[in-house]
Amino acid sequence: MPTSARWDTIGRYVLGLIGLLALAECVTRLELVPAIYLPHASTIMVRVWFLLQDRSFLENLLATLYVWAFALAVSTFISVPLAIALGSSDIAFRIACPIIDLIRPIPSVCLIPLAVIVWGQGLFTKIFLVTYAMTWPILYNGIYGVHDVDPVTIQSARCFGLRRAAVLRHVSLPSAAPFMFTGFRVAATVGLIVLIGVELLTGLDKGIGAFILHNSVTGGQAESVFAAAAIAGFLGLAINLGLEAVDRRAFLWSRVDRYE
Amino acid sequence: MSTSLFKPSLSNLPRRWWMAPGASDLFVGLGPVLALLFVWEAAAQAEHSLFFPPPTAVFVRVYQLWLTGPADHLFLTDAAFRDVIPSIGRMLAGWCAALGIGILCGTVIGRSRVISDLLTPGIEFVRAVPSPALIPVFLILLGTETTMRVTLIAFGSVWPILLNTIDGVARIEPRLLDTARIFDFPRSATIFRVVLPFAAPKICAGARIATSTAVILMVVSELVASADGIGHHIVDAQQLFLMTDMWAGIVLLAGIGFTLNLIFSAFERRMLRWHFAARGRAERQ
Amino acid sequence: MMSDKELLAVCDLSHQYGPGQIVIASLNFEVKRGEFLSIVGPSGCGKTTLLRSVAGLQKYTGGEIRFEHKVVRDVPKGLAMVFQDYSRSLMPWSTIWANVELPLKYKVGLTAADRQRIVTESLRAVGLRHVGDKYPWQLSGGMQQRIAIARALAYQPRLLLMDEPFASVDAQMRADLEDLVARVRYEFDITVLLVTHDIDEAVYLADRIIVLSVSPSSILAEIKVTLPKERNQIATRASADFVAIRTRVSELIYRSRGAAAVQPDVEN
Repeated sequence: MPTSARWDTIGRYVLGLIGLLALAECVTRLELVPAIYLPHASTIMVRVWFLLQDRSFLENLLATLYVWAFALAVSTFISVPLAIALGSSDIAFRIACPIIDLIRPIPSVCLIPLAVIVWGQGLFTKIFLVTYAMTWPILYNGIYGVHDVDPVTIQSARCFGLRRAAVLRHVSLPSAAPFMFTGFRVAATVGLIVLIGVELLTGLDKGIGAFILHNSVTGGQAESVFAAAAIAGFLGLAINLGLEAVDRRAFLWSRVDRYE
Repeated sequence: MSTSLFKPSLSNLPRRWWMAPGASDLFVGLGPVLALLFVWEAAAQAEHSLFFPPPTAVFVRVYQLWLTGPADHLFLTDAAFRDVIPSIGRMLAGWCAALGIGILCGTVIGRSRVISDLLTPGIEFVRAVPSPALIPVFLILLGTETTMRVTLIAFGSVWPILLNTIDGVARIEPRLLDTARIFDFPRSATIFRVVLPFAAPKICAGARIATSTAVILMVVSELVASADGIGHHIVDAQQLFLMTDMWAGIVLLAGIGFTLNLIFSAFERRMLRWHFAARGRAERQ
Repeated sequence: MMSDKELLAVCDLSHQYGPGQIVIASLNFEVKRGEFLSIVGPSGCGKTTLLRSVAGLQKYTGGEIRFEHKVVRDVPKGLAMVFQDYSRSLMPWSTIWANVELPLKYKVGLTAADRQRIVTESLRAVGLRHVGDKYPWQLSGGMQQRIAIARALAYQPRLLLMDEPFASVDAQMRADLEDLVARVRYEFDITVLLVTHDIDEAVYLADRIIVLSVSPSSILAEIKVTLPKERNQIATRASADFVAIRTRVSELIYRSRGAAAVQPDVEN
């Protein structure tokens, strides 16, 4: 049962959201920009409601979610073993770091034209780009998580006679897990944004981004554009909050600051 | 968790001649990269792939496109001045705006539990909306000019800074606040001499994330409806099927991102010397 | 009853955190100008709550605290405080010199030359004249606490509050710090209110001791310390007077803790 302080916080959250909606409504009604371009907040909310019941939008939504989930699984499958391998060996770590430092800054968006040329406008291109974007946070966090385990803990384990593999299994991996999970969470949220961005910029296939692009091109559908963007926002928020909750439960013991 | 190309510690590796301090850093730092390029070069020469030109060709193209200008223009060509410089300028402008707004608002919000509780859900929501989805909105509101691009970059980059500032400010060590109250510090002193320095590591972490967001948005804003910029160059190259040109653009972006990271790391190491040293000492004890 | 010598008056102070969570039942005492008062009691008796209330850092729910005859509602001027966790009260991004000098910058009526002189003097008094350029993390725990004390001294407070200041320091350093405080107290003529759970320390340093009961706390006894002004870790602690006072305080506290004392589980 939440304490009274917790109820206070929840109360403020709710109040804040209501306030924000009210503010949005007032600002949009001021019509600093004509309503056909920037509809009233209430209109957008109504549209959200309708979209969530609209067959064709839901198809787009699910298309995005399938690709997102698939890419997340693939990138985790690739990154986690790689991170463990690179993080646990000092030499591999030293070799990998500069390469990662060099390639990581390349935003997946600038690979879009390349991917489109090489693989055409299709599902594979989308999956490739999103997987590329998702791999880095998991890999980066994973490598550092495995590599930067508290040396005292490792020494204690060695004192108990644990060999290298056992130390890895019983000390390094559990210790690195929270960091990897943070990377996973970042990948999940960033990946969604990248995915929708890719869909938006190329109109590839089906998806929320494609839906937005289609509606902004045909004009006069500002409500749908904003409503879809809002839904994407809710989706991202839900994913982030959900994963944060899992993080808190699963890694209660690790309350160290984990930078994203 | 800042990373740098040149890691100074050589804890447990055996002492060999090529492990001498300066030499090994360079070797370990550049070695893998050069090896990778070598492999790519060999593969590209062997395969003659249309889509993956050899690195040498790409670097030559980078040079041809942007670095063959007159000496008094720092060897930069007109193309560089038309595409590269404005792009970077817009990105930096947007990032700086995000920094200013983020730190200012973040401090105000973070200082008050009530305000941060009220605003956090809203902030988290707006942050979760994918910025590319808002491009049409920005296009309509602000047109396709510099204002729109800088605003988009600032809008997207402000969130990590804002949230990290709020977090850093809110988690101020209570003993430090007690000290400021006991010694009767004026409010400005409490904020600038106690709260902000304490939050600085977190703020820097947010600013670092924001640099990569800014680069991404810089490119994104130029992929669509644009007449200049690095992103535009890449799309142009794509449409004209000039693979090497396109790769040149990608390499340039990699270089920019990498250099920014390097500069930021150096700046961060200098400004947060106390933080790394204190943490290092705590870890070693 | 107000007298000129009274610096701090705690009148019928009580504090509760919530319904049924009374931590302080009723406390009544005074601190006179120039004296050293130790407050000693078992864990959880509200010692820190008391000190924070006196300092104005925490609002108290009942009774009245008066500092220099004015009711304490917010942090009064003229106070300084030394905390138990020294590493968290010193600013890690500033040098030692800057740390000690900072409070002085906001004190009215001091020139840069004054500050220079005061900081030098304070560092000398705690025996750390040459660490001005170092950073807190470069010093050991004992040294950091000495800096915290120097910072408090430099501020020239009318009342110095100390919240279990030596609890986080090793025994050797504790003895040194106790002697340091005993010395600077006369050198700078400051009034000190020390809160601690260490009975020996309380008796060694104080002119007067107040013994608190377990929570909800009240005053068990007020004991005047009849030891000579000059105190010494070996001789004083072996003296009959010291042992007598110490024993009396220990008895009071142990009896108060009574049923709360730890017993091993008994198998039937």
